[in-house]
Amino acid sequence: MNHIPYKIGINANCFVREEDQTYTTYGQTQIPSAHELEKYETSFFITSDASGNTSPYLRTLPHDIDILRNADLGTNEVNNKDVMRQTQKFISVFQRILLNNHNIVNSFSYLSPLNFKWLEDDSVLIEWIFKDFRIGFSIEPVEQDSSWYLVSNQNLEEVSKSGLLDMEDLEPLLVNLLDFASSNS
Amino acid sequence: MTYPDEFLKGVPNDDKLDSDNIPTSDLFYFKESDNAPKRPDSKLEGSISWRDDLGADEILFNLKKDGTIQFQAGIAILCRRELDKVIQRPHVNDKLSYERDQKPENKYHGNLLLKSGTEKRIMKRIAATIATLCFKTFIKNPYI
Repeated sequence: MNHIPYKIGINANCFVREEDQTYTTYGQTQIPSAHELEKYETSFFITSDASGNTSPYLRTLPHDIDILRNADLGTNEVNNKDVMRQTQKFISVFQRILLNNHNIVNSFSYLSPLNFKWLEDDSVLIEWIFKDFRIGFSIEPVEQDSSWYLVSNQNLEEVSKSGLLDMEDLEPLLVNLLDFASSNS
Repeated sequence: MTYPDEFLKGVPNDDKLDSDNIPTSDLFYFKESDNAPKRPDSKLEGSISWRDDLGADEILFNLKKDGTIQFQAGIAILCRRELDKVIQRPHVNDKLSYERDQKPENKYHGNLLLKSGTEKRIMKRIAATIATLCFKTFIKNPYI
């Protein structure tokens, strides 16, 4: 069968306009192999429109693993531009991690989407909520103030961890958190 | 002062809930209010209701602000014993406490209190801890 299992643009830095219907769609059960992922990652690369604006672009991960389907990149006229930029970066890195670690992602018994919420203090709260634990990221107008946390209830030994969010080195943290989530979801 | 096993948090809209009706952490954020007078101890208040009986639910469901029902989504029911455990966590320590604070319109009213000067990052983690440990269930507002 000769089909492309994704809309094009599954690279970490790749966003595709939702309203654009020109791309091949994918079926929910068509999880790609690692080889396929690699091929598409290196083949397609869309980062922004001609103006450099990425805000109208949306994620295009397969629905099964698209925990970023509710991502809200903010609005230029309303939200803090630095926070918007950091949020886009966060989503981009998270996408790459989801694609590179689909073995972890596929082991989830339940995969809820991340909640994105722009708050009055100009920060964005990104939360991944499960029955017994939650993982949160707070992206702040002052980048050095951005932070993350993982808290769980007594069913998971009341874990409580947090730290500052290093936007230049997100990957190890996100992989660890993804691993924790898949092991305990 | 005695407290019941459960307390309530009004949920103004669905934006404060995830897809499984679990509260998002910002429901429990503490922030300075422009019009509220500062407390003598400078602590920040987060309104709750003590569930002494089911009348507490009815009052919250019907509470109005500017003529409209304030908690359109409903109420979150939370566990006080878990709150006591949150207070004892090392990162929370002496920063979090609670009180009764009866109001003319709500005799069950109380506050979660956050020590002034608490770092925003810590405040957000405390809010997440409350949301994760204390939350028991959500009841949709039957009058909407």
